[in-house]
Amino acid sequence: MVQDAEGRIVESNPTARAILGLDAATLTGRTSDDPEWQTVWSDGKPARGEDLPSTIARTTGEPVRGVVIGVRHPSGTVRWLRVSASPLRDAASDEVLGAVVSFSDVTEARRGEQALLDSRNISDVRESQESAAKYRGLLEAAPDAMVVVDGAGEIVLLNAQAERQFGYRRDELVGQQVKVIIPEGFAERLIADDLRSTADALLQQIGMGIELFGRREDGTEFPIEIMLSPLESAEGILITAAIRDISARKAAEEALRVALGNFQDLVDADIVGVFFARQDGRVFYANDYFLDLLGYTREELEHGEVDWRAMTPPEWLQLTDRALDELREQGSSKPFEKEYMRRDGSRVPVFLADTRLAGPGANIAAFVLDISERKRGEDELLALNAELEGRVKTRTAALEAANREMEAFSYSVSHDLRAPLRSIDAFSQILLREHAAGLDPEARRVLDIVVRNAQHMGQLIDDLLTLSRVGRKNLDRTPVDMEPLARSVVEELQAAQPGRTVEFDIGPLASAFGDAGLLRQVWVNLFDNAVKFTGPVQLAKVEVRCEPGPRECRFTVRDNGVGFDPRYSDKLFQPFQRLHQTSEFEGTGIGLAIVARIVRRLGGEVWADGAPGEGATFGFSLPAGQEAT
Amino acid sequence: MNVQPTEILLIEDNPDDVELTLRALRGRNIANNVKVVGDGALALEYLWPGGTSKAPAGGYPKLVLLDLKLPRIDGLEVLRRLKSSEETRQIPVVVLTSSQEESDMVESYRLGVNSYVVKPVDFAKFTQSVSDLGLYWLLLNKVPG
Repeated sequence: MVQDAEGRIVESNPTARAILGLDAATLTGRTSDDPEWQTVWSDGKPARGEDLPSTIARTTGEPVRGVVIGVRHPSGTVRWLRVSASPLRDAASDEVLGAVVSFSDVTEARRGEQALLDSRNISDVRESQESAAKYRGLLEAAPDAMVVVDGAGEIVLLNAQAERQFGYRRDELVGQQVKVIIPEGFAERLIADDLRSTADALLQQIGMGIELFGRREDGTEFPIEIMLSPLESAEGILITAAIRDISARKAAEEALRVALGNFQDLVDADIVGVFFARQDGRVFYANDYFLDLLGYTREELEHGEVDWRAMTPPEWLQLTDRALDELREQGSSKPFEKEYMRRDGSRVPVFLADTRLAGPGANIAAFVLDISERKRGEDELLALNAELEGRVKTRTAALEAANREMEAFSYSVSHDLRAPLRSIDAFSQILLREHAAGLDPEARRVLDIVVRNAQHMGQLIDDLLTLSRVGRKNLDRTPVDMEPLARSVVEELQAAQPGRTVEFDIGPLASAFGDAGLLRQVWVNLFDNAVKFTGPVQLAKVEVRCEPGPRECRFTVRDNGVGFDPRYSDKLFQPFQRLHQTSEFEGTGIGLAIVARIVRRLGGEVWADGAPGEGATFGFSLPAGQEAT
Repeated sequence: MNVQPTEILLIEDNPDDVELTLRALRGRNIANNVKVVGDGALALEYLWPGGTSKAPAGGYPKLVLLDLKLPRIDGLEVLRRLKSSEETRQIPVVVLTSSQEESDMVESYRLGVNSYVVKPVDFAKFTQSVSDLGLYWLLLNKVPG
């Protein structure tokens, strides 16, 4: 129906006329206020014109929805209508010109509700003790807190669960306003006021879960969900509210909300690519990081054009499928590295971890990290390593070549120089021995010099070759008992020079770790040296001592010979460095260099102490032998 | 045929060393019949005339003194042939060389040399060495068969 600014009906459709039982002529010109309607609220009280939906819509300009009103039908019965009304405005001035009123006939539905209530025999809970008791029994049996409220918002009944939930005794609440336990949202919605009846309000809310806050006796509040149902009584409609404490659910929802928020924050932060996809490849969600990395737009994603399987190069499919198998069996796969093909065909190396999503379809959630930078670094490192290896090979080859040349050189020194020297020496001696008669004394003296020098040179060559062999020889490393070794060398030395008397005092010597053959050479050279430089001394003495330690042993050879100037002690161990003139002491100046080279190759050190005329001490250290004493 | 059997085959390319060796050997009257060849190829030709396994004209020597560094075919090859041929396997071979190279010595012993002597530069020691080894291998050493 359409009403004008004064509330007069100007239009009506056939349905409206059928419900009301009036023809268009009768309807037109009537107002909602007309006493003929005998309008009542659902609780039976007369409904006055200014409270009717159409009047409110016209006067306030606000729509009113679903108000139930009883109207007298020409047949004499009451028709229950569910009425909504909207203001009709002038499109230009926005002035309210009237109202559009629509309604449906809810008489049958109302009758059904009534019958249900009657059949339960609880229609008058206040007055019938019997039915009140029955109803209370029902309330107590309910799992939720139940509170029954009347049209004025007063609490009529409650069960034990409600007492417990709100912390009140029953008698403290009965007769109180429901606002005491549900401060907001309940009374406002459901209790009759000047604008509507309880029944009307209730009709809109029935069956809906309404989330509000409850207040306990101690003042604390907690989240509740209420379910409402109407209860007809002699004094009108009562409201039964089932009240459920949803603290736990709310807390869980909040936790989930926070978690989801955190997750979304993480996804949106775009520090890692995230996508959700089907196992067959179709990606149905991805963040910007992932799309940017692979070169797709969000539109392409939404059109289903992003497919991780299609993006996986063939040689990576097998690895990917293995990860999927793992995913199916264990719910997640170990993170692994693979490559994707971008939309433009280029490759990007990624680090990928995925997990199975709950729910049907066993979809995948995957985290993807671009590792191009790292890969580039790795590749550079590999290239660098390869280059270094190449250089090392080249250098090694060069060194090996140099070493071979060196060996060839020493061979030729050995062979080619010794042969002519031998001839010089030999033929000079033959001359001296077999043709002495034909030579004058000066010729013999000169030939002697030739022989002496040839022999010296032979010795030099032999020592040089020894020095070079010591540098190249493969080392044995075994414990060597130094004392018997030293004693045998002394015996040989004394046998070779029966004319010399040198007193050797060899203290207990620990075993050392090294090469027996080379260590013999060390003793030979040191003892030779000691014997040589004690030549001018009357009572030549050589002391050999050892200072054992847990890691190394220190050996010393001390003589009472001519000694040396300690300023030059560092020169003693260098080849060809001599601190004495050849005329004083024979020698090539290589003996101590050989000692130093052997000791250093075995991991030890050499040193020398001395002063002119006060003897000399030569020392060397070696790693301790396993059977060190 | 009045050919004196060869006692020693000296394979040496340095004429000075040949002279000194012969002096040392003769000085103690150890050997009078010494056949000298100047290189490895001549040595092989002497031992296997015409490349056959026919005995040399002067018969197989009782001792071979062998230098290692030789023209054409070197001493190690001559040694290998001597020790791998049925006819010559039992002839004692002494390497007499200037080389102190360990590798030469190791290889010589591997090929079956009977002795390895480094020629001393000193003439007295050289004479002593050569006469000692001649004495040992020709007069004292017993060869089976």
